[in-house]
Amino acid sequence: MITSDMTLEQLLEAIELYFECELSDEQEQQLRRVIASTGFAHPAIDEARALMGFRTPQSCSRQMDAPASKSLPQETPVVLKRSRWRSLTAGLSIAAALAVVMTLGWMLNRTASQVNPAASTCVAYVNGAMVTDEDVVMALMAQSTSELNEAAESAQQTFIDELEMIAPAVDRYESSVNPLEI
Amino acid sequence: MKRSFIAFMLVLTLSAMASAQTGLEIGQIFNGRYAGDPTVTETMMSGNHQFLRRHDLNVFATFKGPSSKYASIIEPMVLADGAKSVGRNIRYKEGKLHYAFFMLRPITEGGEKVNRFLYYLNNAPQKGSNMMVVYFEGPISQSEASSLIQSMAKNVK
Repeated sequence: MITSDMTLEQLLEAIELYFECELSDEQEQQLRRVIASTGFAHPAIDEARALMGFRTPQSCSRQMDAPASKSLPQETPVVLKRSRWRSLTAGLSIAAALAVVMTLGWMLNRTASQVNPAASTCVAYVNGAMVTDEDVVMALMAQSTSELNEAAESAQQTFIDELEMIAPAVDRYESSVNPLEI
Repeated sequence: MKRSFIAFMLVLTLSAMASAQTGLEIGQIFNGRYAGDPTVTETMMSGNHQFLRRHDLNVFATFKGPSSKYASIIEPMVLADGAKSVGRNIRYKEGKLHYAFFMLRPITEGGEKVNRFLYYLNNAPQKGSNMMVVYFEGPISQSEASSLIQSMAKNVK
């Protein structure tokens, strides 16, 4: 139970649980109420306030409760360390997210361009050397497509031959079966 | 906060995996990887070129190399891309893939449907034992693609 009569230590403990996302919704609401009205001043409280959406500039609360701050026990660095750790993990998380987004962008770009490495390209590689003369590139492309065309025509002819071979069998099958009986 | 971040990372990772699977395998042979091999002839044309404009194409690429060396590398790539095709014509000779034509799943670029055509030919053991891949893409139909190959071949003769 989080109440306004908690000690600073208890409050810091509750805040720590809040940072760890281990408070229930009800406890979180209670903590919000306590944090909004507490007289304690502590960086962790300020941080929790900021995270909860309260407008509590650190400098103001420090000025308001300067004597109370002085009387803080020495466990403060533990909470500060956690705070720094959280900042570090947040930074690392952002860096990781950026890395993933950049990788994703690169992959999408690679996918969009498919086999097209640049916006405008005209290049050929022959005998290990690069050629950029458009006429030479065109001649090489035409030569490849010529060979390919022969193969395509041959494949088409084979297909027609195969169809012609099976056509009599199909005719026999069709003539012996009355389509209305099927 | 922590949970949201984990969910965000998961979504990004899954999207990255999904996008990686939509790329073409044969893209690997047109990136210059084998360009240094003197037995390979590779061409790549894209962008604003008269030939491409005339035939309404975005990209035209060819790869030719010795069948003994490249068929085992390239055939699986071609078949992997072909497995996702929307049209095909495949011929086997003596148990080996001899000729393949694939009309790959179209993509949309700038609101325009772009068809992608992939041809594979392995002449081994006939005709100099070369294998080749021809890839081109553009907003053209399958019959226009066949006509293009025929007209280019005619010009060589």
